[in-house]
Amino acid sequence: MKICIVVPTERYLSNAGARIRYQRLRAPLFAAGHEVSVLPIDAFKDLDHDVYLFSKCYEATSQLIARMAARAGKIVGVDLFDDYFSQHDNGQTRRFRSWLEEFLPNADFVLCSTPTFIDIVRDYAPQLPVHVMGDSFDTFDIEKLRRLLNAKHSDLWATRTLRVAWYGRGDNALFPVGLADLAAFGPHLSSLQNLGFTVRLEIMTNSQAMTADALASLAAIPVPFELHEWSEAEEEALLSRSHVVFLPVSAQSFSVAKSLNRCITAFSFGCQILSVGYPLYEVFDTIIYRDVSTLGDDLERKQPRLRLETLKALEHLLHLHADPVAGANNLSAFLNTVASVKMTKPQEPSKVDSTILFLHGIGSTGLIHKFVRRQKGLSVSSPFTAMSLNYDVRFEWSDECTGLNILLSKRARALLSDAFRQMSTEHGSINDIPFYKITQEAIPELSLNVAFLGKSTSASGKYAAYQDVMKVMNTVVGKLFPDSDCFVSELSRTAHRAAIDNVVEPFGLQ
Amino acid sequence: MLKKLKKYLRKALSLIFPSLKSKPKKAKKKGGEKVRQKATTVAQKAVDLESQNAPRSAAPEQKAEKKVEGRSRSQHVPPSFPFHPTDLPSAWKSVESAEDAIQVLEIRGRSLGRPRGAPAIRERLEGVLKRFDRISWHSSVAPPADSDPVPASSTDMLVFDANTCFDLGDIWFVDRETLRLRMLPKNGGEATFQIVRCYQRDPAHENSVRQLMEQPVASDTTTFVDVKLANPYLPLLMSVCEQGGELVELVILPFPSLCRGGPHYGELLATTGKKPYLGVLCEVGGMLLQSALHRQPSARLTELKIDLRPATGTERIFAPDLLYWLKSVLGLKLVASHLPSAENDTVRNYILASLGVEPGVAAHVLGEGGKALRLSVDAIPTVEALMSNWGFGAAIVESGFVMASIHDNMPKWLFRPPERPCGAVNSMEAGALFPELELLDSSALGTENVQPRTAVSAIRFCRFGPIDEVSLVYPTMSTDAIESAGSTAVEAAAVPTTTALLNASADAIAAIACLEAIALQLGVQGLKVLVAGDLADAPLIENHLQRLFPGAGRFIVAEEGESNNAVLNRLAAMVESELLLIMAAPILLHEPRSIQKLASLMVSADVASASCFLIGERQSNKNLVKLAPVFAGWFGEIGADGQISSIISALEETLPLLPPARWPVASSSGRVLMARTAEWRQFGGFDEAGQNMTTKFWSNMISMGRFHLLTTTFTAGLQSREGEQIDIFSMETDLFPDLRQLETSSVQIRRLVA
Repeated sequence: MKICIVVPTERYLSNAGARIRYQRLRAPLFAAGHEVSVLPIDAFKDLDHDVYLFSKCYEATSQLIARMAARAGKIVGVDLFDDYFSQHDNGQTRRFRSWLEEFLPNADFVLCSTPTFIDIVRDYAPQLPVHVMGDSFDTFDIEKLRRLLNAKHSDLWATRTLRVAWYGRGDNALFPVGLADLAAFGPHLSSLQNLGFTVRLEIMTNSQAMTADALASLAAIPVPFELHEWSEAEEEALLSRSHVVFLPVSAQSFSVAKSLNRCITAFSFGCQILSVGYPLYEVFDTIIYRDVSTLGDDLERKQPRLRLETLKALEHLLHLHADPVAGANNLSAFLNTVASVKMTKPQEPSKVDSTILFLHGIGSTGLIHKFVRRQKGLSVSSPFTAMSLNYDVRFEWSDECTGLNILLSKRARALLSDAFRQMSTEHGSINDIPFYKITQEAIPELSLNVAFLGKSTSASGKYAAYQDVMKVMNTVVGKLFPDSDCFVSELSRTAHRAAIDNVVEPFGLQ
Repeated sequence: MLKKLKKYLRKALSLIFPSLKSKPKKAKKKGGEKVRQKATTVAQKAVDLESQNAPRSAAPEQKAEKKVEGRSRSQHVPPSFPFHPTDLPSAWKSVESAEDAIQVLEIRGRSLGRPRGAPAIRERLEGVLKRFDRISWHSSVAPPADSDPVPASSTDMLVFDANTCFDLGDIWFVDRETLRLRMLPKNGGEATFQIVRCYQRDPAHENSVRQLMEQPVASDTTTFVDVKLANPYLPLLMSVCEQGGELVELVILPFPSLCRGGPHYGELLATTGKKPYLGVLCEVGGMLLQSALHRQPSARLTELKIDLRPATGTERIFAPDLLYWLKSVLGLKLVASHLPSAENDTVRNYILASLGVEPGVAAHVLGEGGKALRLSVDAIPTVEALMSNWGFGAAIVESGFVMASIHDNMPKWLFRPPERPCGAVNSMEAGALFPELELLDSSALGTENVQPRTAVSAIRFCRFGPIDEVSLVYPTMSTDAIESAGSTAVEAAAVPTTTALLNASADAIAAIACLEAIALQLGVQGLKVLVAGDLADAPLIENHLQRLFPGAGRFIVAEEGESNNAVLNRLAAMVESELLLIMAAPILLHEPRSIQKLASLMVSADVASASCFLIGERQSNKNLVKLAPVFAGWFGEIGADGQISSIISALEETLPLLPPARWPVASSSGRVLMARTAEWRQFGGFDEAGQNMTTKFWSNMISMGRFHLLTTTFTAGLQSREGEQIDIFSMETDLFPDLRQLETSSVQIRRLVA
């Protein structure tokens, strides 16, 4: 199969998540007869793959591609490895839940990094096949690991200096993670100083996480530490010289769904693991430490859990939970099953030449506007849209403030039925582009009682009017362009929360 | 390497002791070993020196081509002053080498020194040791007999007597576990030094004391002493010895966590007023020490009940050193008042196990004789709560709390509950606003001056910082009709008849937007609207009234020169419905259940008015306009003497950091105000001669023991007008003729400044 992993940007390819989750599978998937390519969403042109797997593309363009791919009989899936979907009482994550609700009807499967996601997905689509594919190790060279362990342990017994590392992404826009966890669980390291070793902690994280508050909170760490900015090379060097990796885990929903990759990576550099907090890494319980005193006892006896004698056990565990070949083979078998099931299902007749429409809400981007234009679709601005771009259709408040007027470009007007085309009159030019106008009076559905709210300079007013305005726009474009595929492009988290305000008729956005 | 270390130490020491510039003789050991310094100061320095001077030892398996580039961003070594008495004069003898071992004072097998001088001095020092022992091993030591030979009121707390060659100038936390003391030279006397040593109960070894440090302190210069604590909550014993080993002084710091920068510092600040820090530390510490020493078993707290619903295991209550102090030293039992709300069994079991609560066991009913403190999971109990003798009171009593930053422990605000419990507030399902003391035993003797309500029983640690826009506009995801999701359908009764009043004068456009938002309100049957405005705006406004509220809206012409207050009074006089809702023109009810939720707050007869948190646009530093909190209610401000001295509105950046709640306030802004029409007419009305919607309604209702509730479960927006500052809220203190009345029905606050 030709598998296309759709990612949000070119830069995404270089982050740890993409590197660990996808690059490591390329070779074994190729060996299993599959071709894997990773495609930034803006570069999408044609549906020339068999499988489309979407990774963190939480905006409208992914919805369009997914729908197109589904209609073309392609296999469509989503990869979930950050839990932004189970916090139903959190308004900040509403945007992600909206996206998933919109996406899954077009999906054939869900891929996820941990079993925790199975129950999460069941809440959205109980019948959809879910496949768990954990993050895999890069390489497992037992001889290299033996040499590494020998060298590390010799160094440790000789110098009595215990090098401890904490590494990873230090922050998240929505949840307290990373350095917050390190500060919260840092006091657990206190008794490390009573083991008879000199303790040196090295912290490696992204510079964005090093805020004044985050650094102040590190005063909770009772041992001397150094702070380093993360890079791939620095991480490897850090793990190469560290004896212990400290992995504290919070029990918040976002954290308990995380994968095992930091632990696996640390193992591959011969590091002992000290994991406190939620037992995220319990599958490795026989090889990791959950408290300092046990670690101390073992170091005193010079019998740490990860040592030459236990390498075979580690190898077994890693192959059980993180083998890239097994992971690729299992994924391959899963996809084959999905494909064969899909072939037996009757295909929906594809909408030939359906018009694509993107309705831009409060938060959209120029890139999304350009994308829909490239797909020969219509870019539609709402009264809330702040960007000044060459939209094909514009909804604007009427002068009387009793509803909306519609402005249509020549291209958009040409797609109308005769009846609607006759309703339109010449309006004049915007950015040298001639427009035609259909007034509120011509289409009763354009009436609204929220014009003053929507025009208010206050964001509060816009959010109050948001749900009604977007519903009207959706209804009216459905009338004007009957065989169209309409998507709402909305990146504003507050707008997504506003869209569900009327519990009787929530307006679903993606 | 050792030579270099010695050379460095000699140089450092010679700066303090000029007489040591020549190489000293080696100290001869007599008898037992020198006390070993457990702190890693010397070892640390050795490593630092090693790393600076010696070639870096090859990291294991380090590939030649992979070179660590760049330097670390920063280094943090907990501060230490690596004095080790290796090179000190031989006259300085270790405590174990005392010639007459019988005379040596010791604690739990650890020798402290031989007291010199009169037997009275020895007696005094023994008393200090007894007290230290008693408060370090609370649960295992029986209460004292009636006659305590050395009463607890003696000044053994941080006060160094004339025999010491220095005074304590300051004491504070430099990180979570390290206390720094600044020792000041005493005037006069020859240059000399004494040896300071610090001790704590050893958490790693039951029944023993750990020496934390020892350091010479000079008499003629300021000395900094760093003490790396075994546990920041355990009492600290400090000894001062002469060079010859004679024990000169013993002092206790019974509650180090009260020191500046410590987790209980907010508790200290809450009682400080304007007194100097050290004095208050001694005074408060002394008082709490007395309470601790004379605790009656039946009068002290036996349980902490934690609301674990939102728990993640990262909260301070889970910290190992705190749990050790609470459970192993104080013998407290920790139970869950509410189980974790996570559906994941592993999460739930982990949270419960972390506190030592058995999975599957819900909070039991507190039996006769027990005292418990109910806490939110973001809180820790205060020293006062734990050490006080609590007498009998109402079954459940609210108590005060301090809000502090989780990042650096810095205290920010003190909150004190109203005297009168408010039924509407207590019914909240999301968690109690205040810590609550369960005091059930009627026979217990209490301490007369400890009142639960005015005590500070908890420190809540919150993430101070910018508030995201979603949380400002929609503090909850709930689309429920009523304030409390836990209420039953019966309680979600239809909203009583309500009339909204609005003065559109001078801003008709803003008023129409306000009306549109009212028209979007859900679950409000028969809502009427009265709008006053300028004559010139009549057609416009009447047109929109007809559009939005056909048959239910009415326009009243505002008279020329009529003040806003007078207009609203006139409108209120026309209201026939049970409830009235006063709105200022710039207010936007973006929450479509605002009126319904306000009405649900008014269900309780105790409640006189209901309002909500206000947000609006503010200019930020980068010339961007963004949504920000604007108004969170007026509160009685607690003065330095503990009484209410004024009213203050300053919690707009703070209240959103706490879970959404209903706050009893002194007053709200008046810009969104729901009240009973009859009560408003009788006890309210705006002052027609005054400005900015001034009214005696606030004070009149409070004087009758009624509540004004301001909810943070939803917000309303304040439209900004061009050229106008958004901070238009002012309140005249003299509207409350007797500020003490605010204690009855409103929360009182005080800003804590470190």
